Amino acid sequence: MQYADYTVWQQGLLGAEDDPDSVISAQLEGWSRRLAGLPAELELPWDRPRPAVASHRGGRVLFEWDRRVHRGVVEVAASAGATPFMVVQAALAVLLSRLGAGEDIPLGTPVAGRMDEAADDLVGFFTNTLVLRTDTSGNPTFGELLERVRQWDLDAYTQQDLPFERLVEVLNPDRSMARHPLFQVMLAFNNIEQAAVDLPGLSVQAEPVDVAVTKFDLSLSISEVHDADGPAGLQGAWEYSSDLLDAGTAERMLHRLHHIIHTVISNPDQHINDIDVLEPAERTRLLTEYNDTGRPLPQATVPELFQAQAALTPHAIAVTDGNMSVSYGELNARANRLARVLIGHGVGPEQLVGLALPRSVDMVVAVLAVLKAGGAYLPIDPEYPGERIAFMVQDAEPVCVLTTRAAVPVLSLPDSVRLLCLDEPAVTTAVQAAAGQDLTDRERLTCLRPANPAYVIYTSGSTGRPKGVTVTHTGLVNYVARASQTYAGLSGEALIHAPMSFDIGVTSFYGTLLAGGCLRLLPSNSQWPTEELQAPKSITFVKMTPSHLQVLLKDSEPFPATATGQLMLGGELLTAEAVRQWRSNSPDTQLINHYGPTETTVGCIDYQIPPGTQFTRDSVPIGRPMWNTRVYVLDAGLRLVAPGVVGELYVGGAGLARGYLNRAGLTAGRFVADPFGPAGGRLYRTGDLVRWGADGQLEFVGRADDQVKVRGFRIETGEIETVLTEHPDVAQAAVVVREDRAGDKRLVGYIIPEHNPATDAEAAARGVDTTAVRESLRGRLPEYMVPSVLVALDGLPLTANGKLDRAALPVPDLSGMTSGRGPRTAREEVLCGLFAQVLGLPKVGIDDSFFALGGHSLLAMHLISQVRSVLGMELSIRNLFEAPTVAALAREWHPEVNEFDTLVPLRATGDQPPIFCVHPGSGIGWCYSGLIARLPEEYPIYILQARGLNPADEVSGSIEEMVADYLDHIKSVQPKGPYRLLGWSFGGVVAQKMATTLQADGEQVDLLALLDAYPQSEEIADVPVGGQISLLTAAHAEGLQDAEVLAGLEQDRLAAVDAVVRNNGWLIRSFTPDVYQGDMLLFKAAAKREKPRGSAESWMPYVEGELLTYDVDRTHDEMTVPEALDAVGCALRSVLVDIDYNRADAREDSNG
Amino acid sequence: MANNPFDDEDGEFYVLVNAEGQYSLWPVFVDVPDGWDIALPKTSRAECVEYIDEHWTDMRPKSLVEAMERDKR
Repeated sequence: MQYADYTVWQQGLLGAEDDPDSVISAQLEGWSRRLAGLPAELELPWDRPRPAVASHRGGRVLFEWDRRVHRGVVEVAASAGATPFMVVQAALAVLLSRLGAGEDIPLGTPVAGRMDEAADDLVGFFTNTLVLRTDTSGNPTFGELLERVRQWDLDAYTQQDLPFERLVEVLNPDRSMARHPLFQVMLAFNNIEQAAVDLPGLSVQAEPVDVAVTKFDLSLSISEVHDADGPAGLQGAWEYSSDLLDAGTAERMLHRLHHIIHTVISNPDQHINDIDVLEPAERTRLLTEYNDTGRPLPQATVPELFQAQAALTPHAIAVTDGNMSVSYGELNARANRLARVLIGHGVGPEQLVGLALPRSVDMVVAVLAVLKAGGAYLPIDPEYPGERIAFMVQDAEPVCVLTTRAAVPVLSLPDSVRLLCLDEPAVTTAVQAAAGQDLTDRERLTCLRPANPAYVIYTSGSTGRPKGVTVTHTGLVNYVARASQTYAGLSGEALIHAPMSFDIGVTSFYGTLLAGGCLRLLPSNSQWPTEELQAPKSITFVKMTPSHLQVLLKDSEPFPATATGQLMLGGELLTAEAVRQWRSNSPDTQLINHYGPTETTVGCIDYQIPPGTQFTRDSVPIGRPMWNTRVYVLDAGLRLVAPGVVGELYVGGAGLARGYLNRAGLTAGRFVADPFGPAGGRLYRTGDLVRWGADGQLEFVGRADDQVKVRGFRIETGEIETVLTEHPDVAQAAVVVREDRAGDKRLVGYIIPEHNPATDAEAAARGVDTTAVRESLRGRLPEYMVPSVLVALDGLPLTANGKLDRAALPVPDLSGMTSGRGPRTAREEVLCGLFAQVLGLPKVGIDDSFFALGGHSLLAMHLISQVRSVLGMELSIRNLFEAPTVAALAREWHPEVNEFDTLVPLRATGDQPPIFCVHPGSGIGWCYSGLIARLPEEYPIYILQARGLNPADEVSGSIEEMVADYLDHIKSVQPKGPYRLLGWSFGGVVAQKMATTLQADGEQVDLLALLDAYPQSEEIADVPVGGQISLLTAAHAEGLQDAEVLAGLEQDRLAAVDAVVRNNGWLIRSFTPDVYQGDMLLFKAAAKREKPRGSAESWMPYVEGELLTYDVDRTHDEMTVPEALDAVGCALRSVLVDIDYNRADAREDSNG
Repeated sequence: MANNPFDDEDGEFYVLVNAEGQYSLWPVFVDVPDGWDIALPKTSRAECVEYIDEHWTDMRPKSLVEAMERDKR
């Protein structure tokens, strides 16, 4: 018998797959059933993220387990009717489960495949691979688990002939170059005695060869050693993928396995989840060392600490709001006066006072006054819908609400609420009359103690009702004492930019006022501190969300204000990429990643990002617990998980809030008994999934529930779903966060229309007015909780076990939401381009509302900054709310920079070399605005416009003079090459001349793109000279497709444009290009309905390189309409990718 | 990661109370932590929540309640 005989024998045995009675059919059926729903990949606490393509580099640890372990394994196996292999398999499954791999553990194992004795003496490869699947769910005892393993394995062995490769083909799991299909962990048992090789004159011994290659994530091979006394030990090799693990981590895993085996052989009745997988030293580290945060704290309240500071620095500026600055002494006295008036109104400890005040010095006074009176404040954001404000006020029952006369009608509070308008003469008089010195407990209705509340902040509630978090002075003092000591910037000048209802401001507010620093309040009507951060002022501390940071990163200007101060990021996941980008501009800023739900009083964990840190993961660690704070990462049985394993974060200590106002049951389910800390202590369970990194810093991984964060706001999608289903047209709803564009997280609502028996489901889906439903949400939910878009569906997609299948929810089609009317003027054209870019849409019509297309306040900030940098137009968020369409904005536009300057940025940001676009014959370059949305954001875009558009300026005297002029301009932006140039028609010829001139000066040009431009074109010269008619014709011919572009211009400007057009016509006549060294791109207008303006061949004499031509199915005049620019943009993108790639390559070569 | 044991609508729970009169829901399969007493024996989650809503009407810690009472006298 030979190997070929074996293959024939195997095929004969297995039979044909199309024969239902064959062995192979039965085995395929059997394995498909056994492996149905197998997890694609086991998630384990790897040291590094899995690379897209496995390198197969590996390492291994050799080990020997002693005779006792071996005997124990054999005995446990024997008493269960199982094999030692099965004992090790069960133990390995326990290990992987406990390390976070889940409760469904597939392992691979080789089987010998020599089923027939005839094969015994044959040389050849018979081995097959089986997948063994272990169900560890339900916390069985080890004995019970072993029985599960035994039954499963025995069943599997009966069908071990089906070749593994065939099984993979048939099951066809999602394939990936990153991992082994069907299983990633291998277990091999070798029961064969070492073959003795006897060679004359040589002593022969088997030595393991470290081949440093592994196909699997982990692989355990064990050989049993027997001697005269029976089992003599287990020898093995533990191989690991070096892509994923370091040697030390792999060794620790092996130790844990050894420990598990040790435990179960002495007590097979142990429940598997109760087996301790931690080493004693690790347990100490997790429980004690990481939580060694105890610090003595002043038994004080916030007013006491503030008063002490005021006495220390009475003349220092405490607050400035742009209009007014007050000193510590004055602020303290004003707060004391108002506090006395409040006490007269019945405010005291355990009482609430609503605050609905604009961001101003008065607001700061009011906050301190409420606290001094002994009360706690309830921030009410006047921007909230009336229904939500009414709910909060009815739920919290404040003694009164402090506000201004102007705000009263906006608030629409229930009549039962007592209002105190701070600008009411009676109130101001009473305040003036009150004494200004510090209050004592004698004046208060009852003594103020640290355990009394300081504020109540409402957060989203999953059952459809917001909940008020009651924060005490103890927690606040604990947080602020550390903050003002740890964040040095707080004693300088800190910025308050968010509403008080968002506790992101608390760090700056108290941290500064209790440290003697100055609080700078962003004016109430502005939401984003661009000016404050841009001006080289003295701001030393800012806290914002990573979403805010994204806006800053997209802004064109650097931010000197925080360049040397402290920038704290909190409220949502901070990406390593955002940190990298920030550092490239402002390497000296101290960055702090800050973590903490409102329930733990502002923050409980932070990470002061060391300068120059390189992150191995995509996100930045959140760090270690703050003072008097304990943190635990626990599994579903409230046990500590091993370092690196994902678990839920529980937080205990001085910072814990009292609970949820008037919601005892809810409180008792979130603030729970602490099994690890001091007796009777509580832990807040955050719902956040985290893990301990190898560096001893906590890492945020995600949410355990449906809570989401959008722009730093914490949102329970259940609350939005509840409100949606209360709409009469909505039967069912699901709300999710989508990030269909990187960095652009949006809420999307999916609704199932209420079933109407008269219509079928499809008609109903078409019939529901999603716009109207969305509008109805605006009246009930804060802006950040209103989904950007609602999608009507026939039904919600469900997973096999009946849960919402989020992955199957369709991507919302926003493009269908845009209206038809296109831009009529240059400025509208630019605005449409900017709207489309910011919203991530292919195009936007002039009547489309920014907000209806999914724009939200942060995207609005981005738009505002783009509009500023491109058009020099200063918009506020309020302008945008009032005029949310391109048409409306263009009407309101009063240009503050000259739109006819020679060099104008279309997009000033981006880290690639810019693309300079030369105007066509009209001299006006705005026709290129469509490129903004069509070229990736890393490419800045500038337009060059003819001198002479400004009536005062003279037109250029020659193409050479024009080129020299333009080169001066582009060098002011980009002093050195490589340069990238583009031009349409006349502009193409100029761009080519610019390129050759640059090359003659020794500069590099790596992109030259021409849009239907030809060296001997006559078209400009053909234009009749003189008169307005000629101008309009020429303008039309050169891309101002609509005469309305010019209709918006004043008479003298029209005359100037006319002069430019005529001049350009003259200049081109006598011009001959030079030879360009390099590849040139030519986009030809190839619409059949028009005679071509020129031929690619006409460029041949002037290009020493390849001439790459692209046909665009448009006429010459249409080369910058959206459809043409789609083609141009697409080609440019791919060319630019190549260029960038080659540049990077070249850099690497020159470095290497 | 399995769902949080506290959110298991079908699970069995105790109601625990500590010396400060603070209440905690507690899954029965986990040992009761030190410093906490069982206020309501094993029952459904809904009943536990109802019990807590009914009995924990003053959410101030007991030590604070006592201190504030002393102030009154």
